[in-house]
Parts: sequence; C-alpha cells; structure tokens
Amino acid sequence: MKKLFSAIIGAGFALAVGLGLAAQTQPVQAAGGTLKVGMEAGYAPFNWTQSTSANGAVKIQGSSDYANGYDVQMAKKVAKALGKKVIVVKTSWDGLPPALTSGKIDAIIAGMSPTPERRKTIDFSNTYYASKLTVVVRRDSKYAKATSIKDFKGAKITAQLSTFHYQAISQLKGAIKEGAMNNFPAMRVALESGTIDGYVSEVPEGITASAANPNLTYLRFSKANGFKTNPEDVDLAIGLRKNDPDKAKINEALAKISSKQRDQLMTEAVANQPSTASEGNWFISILKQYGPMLLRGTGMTLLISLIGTIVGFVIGLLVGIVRTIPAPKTKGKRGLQWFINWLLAVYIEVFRGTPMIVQAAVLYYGAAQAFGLNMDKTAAALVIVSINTGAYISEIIRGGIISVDAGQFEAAHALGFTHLQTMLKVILPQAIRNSLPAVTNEFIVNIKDTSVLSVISVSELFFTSETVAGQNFQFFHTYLIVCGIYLILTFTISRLFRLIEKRIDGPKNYNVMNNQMQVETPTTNN
Amino acid sequence: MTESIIEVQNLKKVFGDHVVLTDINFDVAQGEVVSIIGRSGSGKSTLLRNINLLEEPTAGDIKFHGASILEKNFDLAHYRAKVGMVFQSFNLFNNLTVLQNVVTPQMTVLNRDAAAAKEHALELLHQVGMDPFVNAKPDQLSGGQKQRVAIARAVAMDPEVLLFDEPTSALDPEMVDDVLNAMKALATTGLTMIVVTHEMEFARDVSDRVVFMDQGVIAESGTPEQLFDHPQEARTQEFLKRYLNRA
Repeated sequence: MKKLFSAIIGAGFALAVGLGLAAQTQPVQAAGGTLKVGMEAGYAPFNWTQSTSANGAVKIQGSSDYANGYDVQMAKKVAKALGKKVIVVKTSWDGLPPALTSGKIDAIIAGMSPTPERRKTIDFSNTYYASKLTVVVRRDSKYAKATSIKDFKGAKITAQLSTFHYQAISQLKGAIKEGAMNNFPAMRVALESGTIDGYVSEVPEGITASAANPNLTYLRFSKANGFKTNPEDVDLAIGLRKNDPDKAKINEALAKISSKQRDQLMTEAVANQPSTASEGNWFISILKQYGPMLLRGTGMTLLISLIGTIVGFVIGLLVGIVRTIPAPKTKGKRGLQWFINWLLAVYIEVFRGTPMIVQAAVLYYGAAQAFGLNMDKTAAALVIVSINTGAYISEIIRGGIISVDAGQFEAAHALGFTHLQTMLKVILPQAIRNSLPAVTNEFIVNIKDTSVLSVISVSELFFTSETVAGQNFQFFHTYLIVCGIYLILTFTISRLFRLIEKRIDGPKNYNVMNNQMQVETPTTNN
Repeated sequence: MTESIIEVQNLKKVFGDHVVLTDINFDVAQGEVVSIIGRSGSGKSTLLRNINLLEEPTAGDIKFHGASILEKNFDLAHYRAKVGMVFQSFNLFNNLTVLQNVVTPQMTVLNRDAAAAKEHALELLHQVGMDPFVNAKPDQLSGGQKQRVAIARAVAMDPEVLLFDEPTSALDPEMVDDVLNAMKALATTGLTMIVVTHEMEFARDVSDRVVFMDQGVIAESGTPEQLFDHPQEARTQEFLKRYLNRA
C-alpha cells in the first residue's frame, strides 16, 4: 500500500513539474526588442494569413505561415518608431482582449474600434484607420439597389459578435436582427446560402467580399442616408494595456502617417490580399495553395489528440487503481483514503461537467490574468485535453475494473498478490481490454473536439480551415476537404484500435504441444 | 497426532443480521486431509474463506503454526502463499495462458526467477495432464481442464495447506474424476488439505477426517468410518441418508 501511495504521489509530482516546466517555456518577453501584435490573420484586407513572405509579410509566431495586410504594415511602421521588432500572434477575435490583458500580446492591431465597453478593460491609441459602415448583400437581391439605410424593411441582417456593427443593425428601419455570428467567413456563407439577406460590416471588408465573390456586393450610402456612427466606432485604433508607457510614442508615430499614406496602404492591402479566383480543379487548387497549411493543422490536431489521449489514459489508469483500493483497517488511513477519493471525485465531476472550451479559456487566459502564469498555447492545449480525457477515461477504466469477475480478485488475493500486483498483472489487462472500444471513442472524440481549442488560437485543423475558407471564400469546398481529412484520421484510428484489440486477444487457436500437426497451424484468420 | 498447523477457535461470522458461523472450533494437523460436508448454506465455504481471510472473521481467532493470523502485523501475503485455495469457479486469470497462470504467481509472490518458475510449472502441469495446453487461454478449456490448471497453480506455490472450495461442483460428471484423481495424488504427497465437497466417495476414501457442518456449527466430526458408517447425530444420519440414497 505504501509503495502504491508513493508511486501515485511521485506521478503527481512529476505531472506538476511537467506543467511547471511547460509554463516556463515561453516566459513573457521582456519589452525591449519585440512588439507582440495580436490579430486574427483572417480579416482581409486588414489582416490575413499567407504561406510566403511576399509583399512584406511577417511570420506568425509558432507557425510557418505569414501574416500580411493593412494592420501588419501599420504594425511594422509603429514598431519601427519604437525601435522594436514585430511579432505577429495569431489570435481569435474573442481572444484578443484577454490575450492583451494577460500579457500574451503587447498590442491589438486587428481592425478593432475603441468602443467605451472595450475602454473599460484596455486602452487605445489614436485612430490608425477611419472606416465607414456598409451592408454586404447578394448582388441579385432587391437590397442590392438600396441607397439608404431605410431600404431594408424585412431584410434579415446580422453582424459579427461583440462588434458595434451588430448594434448598428437597429438603424436599419424594419430589418430583422438575426443572431450575431462569430466571424466573417460564417456570415458570407450564410449570405450566399440565403439564410440572411445581408450583414453589416466596414467598407474595406465590403470591397474584399465583393472582389472575392462575384455574387456579393456592398452598398455605398451618401452621408445623409448612411449609418449614424460614433467616431469611436468606425475609427480603428491600436489596443494597448492600460498605462502602457509606449502609448505616447505610438500616437506620435501614427501622427506621422498622413491620411494619403493610409489610403495608399489600404489600396495596396486590397491589391495584395490572397487571390480568391480559383483556376482549374478546385480540389487541386485548394491543395496546391493551402495544402501545407492544412497538413500542419492536421499534424497539430493529431498531436494534441494523441498525446491528450495517451496522458489521459495514464491518468485514468492511476485514478482507476486508487479508486478501487480496498478499505484499509486503521481509521487514519481510511480517512486519508476517503479524502483522496473525494478529491478524485471532484476532479472527475468538474472536468466532465464543464465544456472543454471553457476549461481551455480559463486555463490559458484566466491563469495568465490571475496568476501571471503565461503558458504556451500548445502546452495549454495538451494539458487541457489530457486532464479532460483523464476524467472520462477514469470512469471508463472504473467500469472496466468493475466488469472483471470478482473471482479474479479473489484468486489473486488468495495466492498472496498485493492490491497493486493484482491490478497490474490480472485486473488491469482485462479491464483495459474491456475498455478499449470506449477508449477508441475518446480518441476519436478528441480528434474532433480539439476544434474547440481555436478559442485559445491553437492552429489545429479546424482553426486552420477557418483561416483558409476566410481567404479563398470557397467555404463548401474547403470544409469538404477538411471533412475528408477528419474522416481519414478517425477511420484510421478506429481500424488501428481494432488491430490492437485483436492483438491483445491473441490467436483463437492454440497449439497442443504434443501434436505436431497442430503446431504448424497457428492461423490468425478467425 | 503431530502439531496442529491450523487452529480455528470460537470463530463467528455474521453478514449483516445473518449469522453464518456461530461458534466453530476446529484443528487441522500437519499432513492431515480433512473433508467438510454438509448442506448448502451450512457455512462450509464461509469457514474456508475465513481461514484464507477472503472474509474477515467477526469474532474468534485463527492460528497458523500457533500464531494468530488476525494480528495487526501478520504477513498476509506470505500466509496466503503458504495456504493455497482452489475455487469452485476455477478463477484462472483470463488474460494469461495456462503456463502464465502457473508461472506468474510464483514470480510475483515468491520472487522466483522465470526459468525455475517455468520448470516447476511444466512439471506440475504434466502431473495433472495439462502440459499439452500450456499455450491455451482459460476461455478455450473445459471446466475439468481449468480446475486441473487451478490445482497446478495452487500447488506451484509450494503451500503447506491447500483449501478446496467445492472443486468439482461446477463440473460435468465425466470431468469430475480427472480432478478428483489429481486431488488424490496430492493427498498422498503429505500435503495438508481441507476440502469442502459433496463427493461422499472422495471424502470417505481420501480423508483422514470428515467434518459435518450444519447451521453454522460443526455438528459431528470423526474418521470416515465413524462418520459414514456410525453417525451419532440424528441430523448427520438424515443428511447422509438423503445423500447416499441419491447416489
């Protein structure tokens, strides 16, 4: 028993040290050499992802892709004025403010407006781009001829979540305000499929959408007939942490960039944004242009789900062993056992009972904000998937252990096996065998569920495919390919585990040792 | 009589409100073969499981070579290696082959090296006629074959005492003889055996002593001749009459 406890404590300690080291791997960069800029890298022409360094693109941190766009060029100018080097940190839109306040990035340059709500948590520089609101509609719809914001009676309109665009829908008299959507690619799909009649956005995004997709267009309103907007809203500014000492210098740098220069930068950005015209076979052209990106996303998905499942499995085994330790005789030890079992029950209930997407956000952003623990994205993803899977597999293994015949325990105990020996040599091999189909399920679920890690901007397959679709506007085709990749992954894994199961079961035939005829025929096809 | 190897003193076992063993006093001498007979539910198996500590006695004491096995610091693993058990439902380890079933406990509990354990195992499997099946998994064997492997597994630990809990009750009639023959062969080696059984013929031919249990107490005990031919207690007579008539 003592051995078992020390083994478990040792394992727990190793895990803790591992976590600690992982957290140490990417300490907060000392502000001196670099300016870490957060952006979606999927909101052309402000920012997008490309696979080469063409047109002055900047490498995305922790990836072999590059970011470019109006924001990137602006970031370079600002950083130059500060005497720093730009590092682009690809971050999902909702993740930008927490990433800034938790110190994962130093500035948000992502087409973000300095709204009063945002000003409560972060600070903003002066304007670096002044925009106008527009409505993007289908070219063949009756709303394409609208000249005023009063022409949208009965139109189903949406906008991006947590933007002032969404509030501006109220100015469209008689329009039906649909639920807000997460990103532009999703809105474009919805618009093309007819689920909505239009979405509110800003002129540069409208230019891009209509250039990319001939079925879409954006509307120009005269000043009198257009949206009434707050300069705080349409003006784009650089998001900064409160009391950032560089704010004055950044404003000074921005003041030196004339509005003519800004227009010039925007024109270049619109011209340089990734081509969306596809030539020849769509399948080949997507693979040609985005193949390496998708492959890296696939690799990341596989890595996280594989390691998460393996570590989760080990956690599950340990928890399973501990939870089935027979009640000790002395009161003190019984109390300790009760306490440990209570802790494990809490662990299982908490991680099984809350969504992984929330756990990821809490660990990655919450820990950074509350304790200054700045984890690497991938490390955070691995930790969350492992712990989450461990909670599920603990219960799967417990079920597997319960399903082993009580006679197996008795026989082992009657022979003088300790609890740990009984578990390792007799019970767990059978319990694991019984649990394998359910563990396969967990692995497959993990492959698919790692997609929620886009909340902490891990470039796994789904996050990558969102970026690709956001750039080539071939939503159906891109997601179809990604579907195929997921299917290949999950199918391969389910087959692989069937093989492992067969291997554990061993051959159905056995050799009777004194019968030479049968010794020759250890067939495996059964 | 030689020294007692196992002494059961005032043993009481209660499951909830149900008293299974009322007050058992029972000694087994070194090298003795004792059969325990009686109706189902009379407490025979419970007695055996208490001796092995698969069940915790409610009251009373059990001694092995004069030392109480209920002492706090008693080396239970060592004791269990010395007092083996053969179960009604065999309980071979399903994840292991026949050979591994006999080898693994020797290596795990007695720390024998693999070669010695294997040699010992093969010899014992040969004795029970199971050596051709060393590579088979338990699922692939018949009940009688499984029980012979289970006997080899228990004997491989070089125990001083072997407990048999109705070893033939789950077997088809034609399988019973193979298992009983293996047990008879063991009885002649001087191993101490306590056998809970419904095989009256085996009890009569092989035992040094027969114990008849009824309603949680030992109702009568004596040599096979005394118990089977001249039972003193009325309930013993009644039990034997039913049993022997059926056979």
